[in-house]
Amino acid sequence: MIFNIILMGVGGQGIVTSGILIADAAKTSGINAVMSEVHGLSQRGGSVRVDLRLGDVTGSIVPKGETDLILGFEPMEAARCFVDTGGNPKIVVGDQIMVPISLSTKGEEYPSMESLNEDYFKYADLYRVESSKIALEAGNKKVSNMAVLGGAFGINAIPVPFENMIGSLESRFHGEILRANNEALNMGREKVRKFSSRINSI
Amino acid sequence: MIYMTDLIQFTESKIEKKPIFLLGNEAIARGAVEAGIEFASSYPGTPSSEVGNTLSLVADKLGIKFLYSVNEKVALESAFAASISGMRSLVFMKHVGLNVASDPFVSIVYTGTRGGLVIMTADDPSMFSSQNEQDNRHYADLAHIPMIEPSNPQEAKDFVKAAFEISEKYHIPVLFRTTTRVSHMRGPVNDGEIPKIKGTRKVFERDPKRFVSLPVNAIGLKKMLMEKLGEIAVESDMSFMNSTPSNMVSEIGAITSGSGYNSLMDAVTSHSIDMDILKIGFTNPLPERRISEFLRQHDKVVIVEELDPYMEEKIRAIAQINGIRTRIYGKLDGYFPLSYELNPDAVLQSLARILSIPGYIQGKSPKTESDLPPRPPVLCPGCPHRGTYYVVKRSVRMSNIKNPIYASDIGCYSLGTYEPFDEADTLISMGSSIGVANGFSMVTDQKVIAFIGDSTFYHSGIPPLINAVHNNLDMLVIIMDNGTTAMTGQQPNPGNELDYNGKPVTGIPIENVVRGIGIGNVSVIDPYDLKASFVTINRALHQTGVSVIISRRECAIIRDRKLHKNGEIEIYTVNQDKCGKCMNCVENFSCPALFIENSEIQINPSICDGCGVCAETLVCPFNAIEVKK
Repeated sequence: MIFNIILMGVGGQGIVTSGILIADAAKTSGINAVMSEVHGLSQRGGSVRVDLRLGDVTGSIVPKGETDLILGFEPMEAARCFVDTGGNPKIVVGDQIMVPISLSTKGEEYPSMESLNEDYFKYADLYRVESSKIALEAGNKKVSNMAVLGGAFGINAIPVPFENMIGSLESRFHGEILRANNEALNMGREKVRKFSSRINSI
Repeated sequence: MIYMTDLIQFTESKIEKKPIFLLGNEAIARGAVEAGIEFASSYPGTPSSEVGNTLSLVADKLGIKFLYSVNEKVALESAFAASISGMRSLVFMKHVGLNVASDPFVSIVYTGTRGGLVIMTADDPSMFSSQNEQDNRHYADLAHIPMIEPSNPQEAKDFVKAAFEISEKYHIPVLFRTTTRVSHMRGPVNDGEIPKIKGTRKVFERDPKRFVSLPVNAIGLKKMLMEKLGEIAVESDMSFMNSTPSNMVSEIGAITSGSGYNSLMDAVTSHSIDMDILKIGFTNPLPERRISEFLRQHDKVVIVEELDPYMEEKIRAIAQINGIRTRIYGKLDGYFPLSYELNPDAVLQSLARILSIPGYIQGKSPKTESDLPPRPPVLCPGCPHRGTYYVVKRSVRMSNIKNPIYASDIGCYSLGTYEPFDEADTLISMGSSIGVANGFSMVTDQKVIAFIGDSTFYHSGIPPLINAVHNNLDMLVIIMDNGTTAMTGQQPNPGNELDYNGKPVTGIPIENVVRGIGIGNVSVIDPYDLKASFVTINRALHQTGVSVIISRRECAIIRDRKLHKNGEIEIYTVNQDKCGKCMNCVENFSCPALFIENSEIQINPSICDGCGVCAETLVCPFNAIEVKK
């Protein structure tokens, strides 16, 4: 078995953390995991891509066309990743928008969700999670990543039992932070929705 | 840090039942600990930094003397001294760091070592966070030093231990070379026992004929070194680090190493390519006998290696010397690229020119290339460098200075090169801001402004500053002191009063250093106070000779950590009734938290850092940015 996940977003969104948590859960389930991380300068608010590969693999970079799942923590980055990696992955995308400075300095605005859908996701197997809202409800703005992760479990897109994912959270976090992460994960799982092109928003 | 649980296991000497999930760099630290190192030193640099981040968490507990040195040269010289005093020592740095340490590096191979000495260097193919993609394997030839290269975290750990064995057996330092994808690959690692180290003081036994490399001694040492290398070549031919992971069944073979091996294995597996593989982990001296055997067994052999045709040149020489007529494919004949990392796609693309394999599945996105706006890294919200760059640009404009030259340097503040600041005309190497400022001052009449960070200043900014004062040159040097080595993960530097482990050390104030050199025009500004900074910078721009401004404010990431701990963060918002929509804040101050939505300027509450600098009149003349209630 080989299962390739790309976690894509903006530096600071908890992307590496999310990868480690899934890998932990995979490990508990007896599945091999390797991951390719980003450190240093590229972390400073830039596009961040983390490749997580489960199963019988050697290297940690997902080959083009072989991505099974994109976890998009930021919509524009999810679109960028989808174009770049090719293939027909499931895409779970959160709604936490980060406007790149390159737009603001030119006085431009973030592309509308309609145009992102039309230009990039029209034929994609796309699922959406209101990750910002969920994070607020969970009481911690940093846990929106868990809502996206939860979304992927909600559509059974990660070949790891959900209880092992919970176990992975419990082994890494404690107290209030564990509670907020757990809540966001569960809410993401329940509230993930398939995108249909009739609904004009992600 | 999320991986604390793995690191806690790290300090326990018993062998764990289940593998721990380590980053390549963490595995290198683990391997060194299992090898019983008593000393380690480094200057931080991506992609090598996590070796130090890891050691800094466990060194005290394990009794290892670990320090961040002022630069790589001092780090290597210290580790060398520890080695010839009998300690196993590890020194690590990024690829260009070895350039800085190259002076002692070449000569200590002559003198040799006592306690095992491993020099880890991390190359950066595709330049994720570096100014070049130099292939440090060439250093192995330059210095005649044995070299070892792992492909994954498990090997990183196991091979480091083997490197110490080789170093001690032959009394020679060993070069341990990784690349970004190996250093930053996380995977399962089976740990081994951690020996109890003695941690006692050593007595250095003098041996001037060996350790004083005057010509009279060096001349004999060179000959001995070449003999040693001959013995190590035999070792390489027998080493477990060179292996054939699959059965030998095909007439096509591949010789590979490091990250190239990973990509090749994935390409071969996913496309069911029939190919035998010889994986080289001991890359200098190459296992000549094994390679010639492998060449003889195959009609065609592909060399899959990242960056330069380092192995390929030697393998072609081995074939020539041994009269082997196998067809060899690689970079020299144009089949593989000479630039950038060899990811599975690049390997497949190259293999497709030699073998017949199908291409990858095109995506379902209506676009095949994104025309989304790029998102390069940016100065963080709350970063003090933003205030410095903002004010300097204004001051230069107000002072009517035409054609200023901005000489920048290595650090987070390199990002001042991007719009809207655009305040970098040169950026070459550590300390080069002041170095090139010397030359510009001598050959142009333009105003030269050098930007350098505190850690980089200590690392190699002081000699060029001495040169400038001594030669009566003109320049404004702005030392951006955020109190840490920020870009690589907030490691301490000689300006700090506390070391990585919280132990008191002697902080060396930058003002004392620059005044000691004889510079009179020295001022300190707070980049969060734009108005006062503006006045000081304006004054300095009109001074002649060497002027220094120290722009001092703690790194926002460190500040955030403290504030979140104390729960004191207070964020800002735009009062739309007051906002005059002059756009100055988004266009010229450009904090990533500021953005435009429905033609209104907004502040993203999830990333606003609460520094409040955007609320100052020099950024918002309408005073429309207020604390969010």
